[in-house]
Amino acid sequence: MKLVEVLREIERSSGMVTVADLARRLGSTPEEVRPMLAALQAAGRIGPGRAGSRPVEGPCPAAGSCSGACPGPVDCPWAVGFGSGLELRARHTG
Amino acid sequence: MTPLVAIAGCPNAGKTTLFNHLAGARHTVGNWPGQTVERHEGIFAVNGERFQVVDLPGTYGLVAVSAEESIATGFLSRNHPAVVVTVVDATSLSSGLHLAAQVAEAGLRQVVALNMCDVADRRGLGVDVAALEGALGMPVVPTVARSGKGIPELRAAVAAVAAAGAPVSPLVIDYGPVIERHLGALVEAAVECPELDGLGPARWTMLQLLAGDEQTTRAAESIPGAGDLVAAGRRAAEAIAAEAGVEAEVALAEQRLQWVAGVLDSIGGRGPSGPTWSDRFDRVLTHRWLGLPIFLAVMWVVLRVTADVTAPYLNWVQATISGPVSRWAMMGLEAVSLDGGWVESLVVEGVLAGVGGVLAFVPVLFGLYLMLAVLEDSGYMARTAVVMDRTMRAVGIPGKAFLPMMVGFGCTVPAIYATRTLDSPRDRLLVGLLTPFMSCGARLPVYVLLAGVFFVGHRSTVVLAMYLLGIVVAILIGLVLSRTVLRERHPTPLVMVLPGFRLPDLRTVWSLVKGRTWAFVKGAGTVILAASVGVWLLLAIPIGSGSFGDTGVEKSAFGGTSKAMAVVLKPLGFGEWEQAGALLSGLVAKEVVVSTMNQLYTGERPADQQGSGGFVGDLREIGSSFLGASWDTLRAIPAVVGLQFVDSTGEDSTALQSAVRASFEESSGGHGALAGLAFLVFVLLYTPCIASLAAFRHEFGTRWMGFMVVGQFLVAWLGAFAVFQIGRLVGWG
Repeated sequence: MKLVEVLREIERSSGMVTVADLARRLGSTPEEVRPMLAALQAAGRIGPGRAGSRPVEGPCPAAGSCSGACPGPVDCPWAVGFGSGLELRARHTG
Repeated sequence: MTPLVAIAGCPNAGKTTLFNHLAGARHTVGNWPGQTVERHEGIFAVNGERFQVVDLPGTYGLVAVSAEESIATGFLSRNHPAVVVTVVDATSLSSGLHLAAQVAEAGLRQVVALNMCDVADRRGLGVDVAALEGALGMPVVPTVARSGKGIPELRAAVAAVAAAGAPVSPLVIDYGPVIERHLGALVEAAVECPELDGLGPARWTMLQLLAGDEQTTRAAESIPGAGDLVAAGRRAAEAIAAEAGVEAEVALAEQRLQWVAGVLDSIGGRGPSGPTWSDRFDRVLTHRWLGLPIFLAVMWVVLRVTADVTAPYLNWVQATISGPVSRWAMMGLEAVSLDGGWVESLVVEGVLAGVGGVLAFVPVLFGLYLMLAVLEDSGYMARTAVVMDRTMRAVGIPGKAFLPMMVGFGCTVPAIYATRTLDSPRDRLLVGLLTPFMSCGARLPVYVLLAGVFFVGHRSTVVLAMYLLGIVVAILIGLVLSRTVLRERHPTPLVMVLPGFRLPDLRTVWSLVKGRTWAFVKGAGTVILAASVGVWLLLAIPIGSGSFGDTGVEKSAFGGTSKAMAVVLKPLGFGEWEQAGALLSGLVAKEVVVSTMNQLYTGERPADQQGSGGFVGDLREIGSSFLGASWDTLRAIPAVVGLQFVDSTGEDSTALQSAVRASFEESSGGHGALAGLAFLVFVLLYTPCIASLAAFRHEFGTRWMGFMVVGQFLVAWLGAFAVFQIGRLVGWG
């Protein structure tokens, strides 16, 4: 399996796709696909995606509920963790 | 000068733990210039010689796109460290060696720290270190960063490489005829421009230009006379893409991957490639048909724990506030001669009834947050996102919508901000309109109160039904909107890298539960307190005749306003002014619905001030009822899996529950349970709280906020109307 096949399969996908889904579509295994995703990250073609709740930028209207003791976007107690995702990145033009 | 050592590695390779062992306590934490990314820096010594060590942000490669990658790449190319320690996860050799290959191509002296060797050994992925050293041509030191194993050897290897001093030959990977032809021409031209030497070996610099690395490109462009070379690099990358049928940076990565595969083959170190137990679980949990029923079953267990198992503690807090705490407050007021007047009314009917009524639900929220934290930290929550993504895409709603919607189970405000994770303004707006239909934590006290009044034996089922109804209504509304005013476009892909399943870490779970529960408690001390005092004030202000604090509640400003609204709610089965008033005050925050009901129906005036047996007697009562609640909770746990040891239908009604039942029976003409259900549907669907509206306006503007306020009210009215009127017609309740 070639790296470009993995990239094209991601480009063809819509919405969320798991590593296992990708592997199944490519007739491969998650163990083979994972290093290829790392190589695509190394090449800058995919990068950490937005799979959790987004940090609040600027004043949070719920700050009153936290008595002005807003712990900041990273530690916001209301944010839910979903693990990480990888998104396509725009192609380099150099 | 102190030799500089840089620690590089892929994210989660154990780099920072290893750095902490190397630098010990002697390290400082700051920020990288112009960035919010932390910079860890320290000193270590080997045989008296000191080394300055810097922990670089995690990166998979040296083509910089993100801030973290730019820092790592920029640091290596500008500072030329004496030694780079590349931390490679022994369980994921290929990814780590891909980075090590690039560091070697850049001509930097390198030591590979083969980390997590213990885990690799356990999984049968043990590496022949000597063979790997031979294949790479650089020192490889096995380490276990968590325990500090291998750190002295790593220090010694770093010192030896630094002491050697001689320049190293950059690694040369054969990139195949097409790339080598263009690369060769570029390198020849680069040799004619000696100013480029500062960026590293000519071949490496040209590889970076071909890969489109922005830092290298910018640095080269700033060198007089190198502009033509940069342009030639761009043309070469285009030519490679045309000839090879794949973009230059991908073609380069492909060849490096081949080189890494060759290294691994030569040492026989690819190891077994069978699926892990986490992969096997995923096949079931994210299965196309099984995933959704499993998710629903998990949610059912979560809500059974939340609504049923915590119920004895809810009753305990309620009894403590309405009993001993209220008695103490009355005695305190008596002691300072403030009893009998408006201050007593404010404290008892305003603060204690309002805030106390909401604080009683802390155990319920604690239960919900505990279960959610366990699901998050175990890795299951990420699977639910994938499962729901498929379901939602099937009906035309962007799958990623479920991420912010899941956040909405905690609080609508961050859920609205979480829509920033979506790609297009259309998707953001659509999901922003849907998130308020998710049952936030603040609605839970209302569900538990009403379900406890009308559906005692089926409390958790009713609560689960509310959660599911919210999802179903959101999907239906999304379906309508995505086919009318907000038409769908092709959603962009997101590869979910699901974290491996693990036993939840108690510290992480406790930190999440504590943070969320404390935020709820603080909310009771601020927003709910202000709302309760506000309701008390409006109850004290007369309309027409009467004076402040001396008017019947029905003739107060609050009563008058509520009566006007109650007319609209009559067809829904809850047209009493108290019910309308509770819903009106719920616009401040949904928990206020409960606090207002408590204020209006009971006032929480302690029935018996004398019968407590004094302060010590009260404490004894609190302690013994706590033990009783704990015992009841323990007995309720088996009921989660269907083993009923407690007769939950025989719970004693509190004063509030009795008053609520009587009020709903009256307002609905004897269909109290049906009206209660319609009320729950209304609370689930109607206009969200003020903070949510502010967040929505902030993100999407006033016009769409108005659309949401009116739209949600209409949806809620229609939903409650359907439940009550259809229910009556078919003879429910």
